[in-house]
Parts: sequence; structure tokens; C-alpha cells
Amino acid sequence: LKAASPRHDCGSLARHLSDYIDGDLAADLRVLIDRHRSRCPPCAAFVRTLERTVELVRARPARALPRARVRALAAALRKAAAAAAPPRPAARRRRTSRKSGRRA
Amino acid sequence: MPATEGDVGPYPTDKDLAEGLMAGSPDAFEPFVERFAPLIQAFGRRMCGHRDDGDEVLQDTLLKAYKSVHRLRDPAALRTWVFRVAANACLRMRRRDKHEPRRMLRLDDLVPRGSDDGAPPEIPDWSGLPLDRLLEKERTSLVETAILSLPRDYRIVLLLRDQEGFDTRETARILGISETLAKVRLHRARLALRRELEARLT
Repeated sequence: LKAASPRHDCGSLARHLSDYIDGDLAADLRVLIDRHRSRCPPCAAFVRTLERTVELVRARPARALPRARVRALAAALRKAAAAAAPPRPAARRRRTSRKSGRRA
Repeated sequence: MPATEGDVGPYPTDKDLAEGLMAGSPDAFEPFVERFAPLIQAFGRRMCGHRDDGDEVLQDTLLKAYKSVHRLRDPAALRTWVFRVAANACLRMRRRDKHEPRRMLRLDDLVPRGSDDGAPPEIPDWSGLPLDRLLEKERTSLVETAILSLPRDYRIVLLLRDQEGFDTRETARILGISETLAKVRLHRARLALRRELEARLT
């Protein structure tokens, strides 16, 4: 890419674009990128399409499960969980004796 | 933050729900499934790409998370804990897939370069395309196919950060990697996805 300035070419600024989009960039670097994209059409298009890419992932798919599916899943998991050992609070866990190898 | 907005009942927050599960309360199990099943199913399907794999991840995750919840140190971090179990289930499943070798994404390959004579590259600007007005099914399919083309180690960071909304620290904890690595992988995943979408849209 053509040089934006002797110190900051397009490639070096591209390294910071995720932080730029997330608002995690230091103010001076943000101003630099703002200035650069206003003067460099390829970089402006690159940033816009990268921002759009992130928006499309954030527009996550619908997450609703049918009520019957939730109930069936809950019932199946409850049955499986009942067959296995129930969860125990950490504070009430029993220790194993080193000498005997049995539960103390 | 509760995983499900507007949730009412005896377990309005993830902390309440985690404490109910840790105490072995029988009435905590169904709210746990109701709250997390839709999240994990969507995550598993986008991560695995196959409906059956996504369903397997869902069942595996809910059962393992429930059985091991007593190891959760911070009850308020239930959502992070459940996604950690889900991420492990996804990565374990993908390791079985010999058709998807591990790939590294290199930054230099993802940022277009100008020609040798100094001319800038041509970057098609598809950001203004009315993608939201495409049929929901088509838009979702387009994005999901592009996401699935990413190497799994990058795909999972992208989904945790941009789809699920975890921050860098939480994402790093879920995956057991450093925050620096999580940031690097997120950036490269976004750049690679941008390139994939460009190839499909222009």
C-alpha cells in the first residue's frame, strides 16, 4: 500500500484495527487512523468492510429452542444426572487418606 | 450478568442458579437447561458446522457442567464456566476430524498489498450492501459458511468474543490461553472473515 506517512503505512495501521473497532486504542493512535482513513480510500473501504464483518457476527442467529425440546432435553439430562453422582459443594468434599487410600 | 434477560423465578441471576446447582437443589436443573441450552446449541452449531455435532456438544456440555459445578469458585461466573466446558467439547470433537488440520493465519496474508509500482490495492467496498434485508436464512447461511472456513482455533475466539460477547479476559480464561494470544487470534479471525465475505459478496 502507498505510504500514509514516513512512519505509518497502511500495513502497520492494519495491525491495530480490531482495537480501533472495539474502542480499545490509545487516543493518539485512534486519531492517526481516523486521519489516515479520511485520506486513503483503500484503507477507508478496508475499515468499513471490517466493521461490517464484526457487525454480521454480532447479529447472532436466533437462539430460541422449542419448548417441547427444552423439556425433553431437561428430562433426559435429569435422568442422566440422577444416575451419576450428584454435584457436591466444594467445602463438603471428603478427603482421601494417603495411608489407606480410602475415604477419610 | 444473567444469561437470560427478564428471567424470573427462584434463580433470577446466574449466581443464584449456580448456588442452587451447587447445593444440589432439584428445582435448579430445569432453569439451568432453559437458560443455557439455546446458547450452547447456537454456539455448538456455528463452531462445529453440523447439526448433529452441535446437538452432541449441547448434551455433553450441560451434563458435564452440571456434574462438575461444585468446582466453580465464583458462582457469578457460571456462564463463563459453562462456555469453558462447551469450548472443550467443541475442540475435542474437532480433534476427531482428520479433515481439518490445524492452520495458522498470517497477518501479512490478510492485509492487501499494493502493486510493486506503488499503486494501492483495489478494495471492494461491500459494507453498504443491504445484507440485513436479505432473507434471514440466506444471510445466516452466508455468514456461517464463511465462519466455518476459519481454522478452529481462530473460529472459537471469534465466536466467544463477537457472537457471545465475552471480553478478552473471559475468552482467555475459557480457552486457557493468554490474553495476548486471544487478541491476536481475534484480530486475524476478523481479517480472515472479512476476506471470506468479500470473496462471496463481490
